[in-house]
Amino acid sequence: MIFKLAYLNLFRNKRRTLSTGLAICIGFVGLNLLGAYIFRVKKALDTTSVYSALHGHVKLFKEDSLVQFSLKPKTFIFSKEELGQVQNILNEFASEIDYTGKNINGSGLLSNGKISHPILFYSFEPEIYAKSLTQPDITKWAKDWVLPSQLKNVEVFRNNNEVMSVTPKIANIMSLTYPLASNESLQLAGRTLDGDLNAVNLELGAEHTTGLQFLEDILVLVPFKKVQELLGTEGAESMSIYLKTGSPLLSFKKRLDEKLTRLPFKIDSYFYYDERINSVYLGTIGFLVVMGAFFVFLIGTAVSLTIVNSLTMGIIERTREIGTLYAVGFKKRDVSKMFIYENLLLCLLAICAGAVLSFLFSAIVNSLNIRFTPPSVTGKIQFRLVWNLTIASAVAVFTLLLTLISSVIVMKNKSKIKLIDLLNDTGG
Amino acid sequence: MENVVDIKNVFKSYQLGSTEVHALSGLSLQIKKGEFAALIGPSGSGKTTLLNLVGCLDNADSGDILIEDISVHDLNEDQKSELRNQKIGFIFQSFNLIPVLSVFENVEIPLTIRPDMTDEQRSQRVMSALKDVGLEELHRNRPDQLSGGQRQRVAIARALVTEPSLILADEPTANLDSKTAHHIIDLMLELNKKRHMTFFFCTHDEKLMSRVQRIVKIKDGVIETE
Repeated sequence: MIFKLAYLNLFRNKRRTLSTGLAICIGFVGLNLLGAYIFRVKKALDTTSVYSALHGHVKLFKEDSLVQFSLKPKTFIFSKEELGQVQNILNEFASEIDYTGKNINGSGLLSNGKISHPILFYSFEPEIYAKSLTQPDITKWAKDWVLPSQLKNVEVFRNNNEVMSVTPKIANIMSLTYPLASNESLQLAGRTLDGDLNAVNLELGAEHTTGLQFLEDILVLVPFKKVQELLGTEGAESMSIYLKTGSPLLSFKKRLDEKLTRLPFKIDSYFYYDERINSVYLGTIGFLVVMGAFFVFLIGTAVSLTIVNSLTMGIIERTREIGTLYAVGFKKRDVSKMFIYENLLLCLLAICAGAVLSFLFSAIVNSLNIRFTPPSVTGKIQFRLVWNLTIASAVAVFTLLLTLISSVIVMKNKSKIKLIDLLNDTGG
Repeated sequence: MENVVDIKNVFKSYQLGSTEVHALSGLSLQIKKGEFAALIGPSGSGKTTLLNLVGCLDNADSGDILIEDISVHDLNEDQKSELRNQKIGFIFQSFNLIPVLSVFENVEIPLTIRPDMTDEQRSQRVMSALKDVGLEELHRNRPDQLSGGQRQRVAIARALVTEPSLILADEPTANLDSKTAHHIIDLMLELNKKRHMTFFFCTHDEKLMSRVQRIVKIKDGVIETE
């Protein structure tokens, strides 16, 4: 009977029920779309961090290398033998690791004989680069962050260990055209691990984008072997581990760390989202989380106040009726339950409507292909909302909890009214 | 005859602004089983206050009220709710029906919180109560489809459906025309005789007063005459 009464009460003041339901529905849609946007950005950042930036899921350095490598590269570089020892341990995780790569980053001067430009170079292994850029996740989540030419040029890298890649901005600064004219060549100059000056010849193979404005005029990709040649080493600064889909990242790193302690030298391992190797990731996600929390607070407060207002009005209008229920033997918790059921039922209906609306809204927005340039990002990216069942469920649970808490607070407050005052009420 | 209600030296006062109003001042009264007793008196004499205290809708400042030998004073809120549900039926001046429920459902309400009853038992009790008030044909109607007299009959059916020891009524005919009021009085008397239910009600209706067994006159919070 309590549930039936709760259901029937929804039809008493249809206008108020509709406005309250609409407020909950809009709140749900708002939170859902916010979640859909954050989800899409997070997925894009995950994908670009792991595959485009070649961090892998877990990155290994020699202990303290992050701070010390540029000062004492010879001490903190993995030697060829050490790389072999690490690889032996990684082989024990063959069922979880998809592939691994080696990296050396550094700085130097890029010159085409006419113009010299100071650059940061990231090394890449052609096979690893090709594998990474052709991952299904890149197409799914980070298409906007990878130049179409990059995908086309994957084969160029595979077939030629002499070619490097520059950003469109560096190409413009240095007046480079692809392919280079027959009388043109590129030289990358830098210091070897021993501190001597050195230079290597390179061909221009392709263009890439870093996705970030502050790196666009400075970052080039150079084949790993060429960087080794430049630095005069057979070692690597770091190793990137790319996991197979579905491998548990947290437990993998924990188990790996345990096994790495067997090595005669110490190793630091980092998740791809670790601030120390990927400050952009944490900065962007941090901003989105703060923004999300702010909107959740605003929307949650608005929804909560609407529920409190609607419930209070409902109680005021039905004061004598509540008194009658008490008089015939209902306990306070029975009446509270009735109002709480009423709101939860309304909330459930609003959530169902909101789920459909947010799904449709996402589909419409995505089909419109709205493009924009986020702060510090190069080029325009599509404003995409990725409707996700897990996020929708989490928002639904949050909305239900919000409704429940708001209702309980109101009922707790109103149940202090004396029974006799309820019955004597002349009606709202 | 055993007492259904035993009121022992009850005091009750209210604070009206800065003034303390003594609604009941040491009132004692017994209502016996099967009685059809009316409580009369001028406005502000304490009639409704007394009825509310007997119905466990309010608490006395001092003194005690026993309902079938159960001291109301010793009960907590939940126990009072159970006592109201099992031993007391209420008939209100303005019927107090729930508009979204049908006649059947309105009468059924007090039984829905009894976990020991089956749906069938509940249904039988409701239809029997509606038959007693002559509304079994209208059990599917909503209150707004009924006349004032019919609504009060539904309220009476709701009061008697739990087969209580005591039915309390606060001005049950005040909102009805004289012809309908007459029918309601007849019905209450019939139920009193047929079901041996104890009725204790307050009224200003002289027609009703002329037909009751016992009249208790209250003035300034104490019994003036019986």
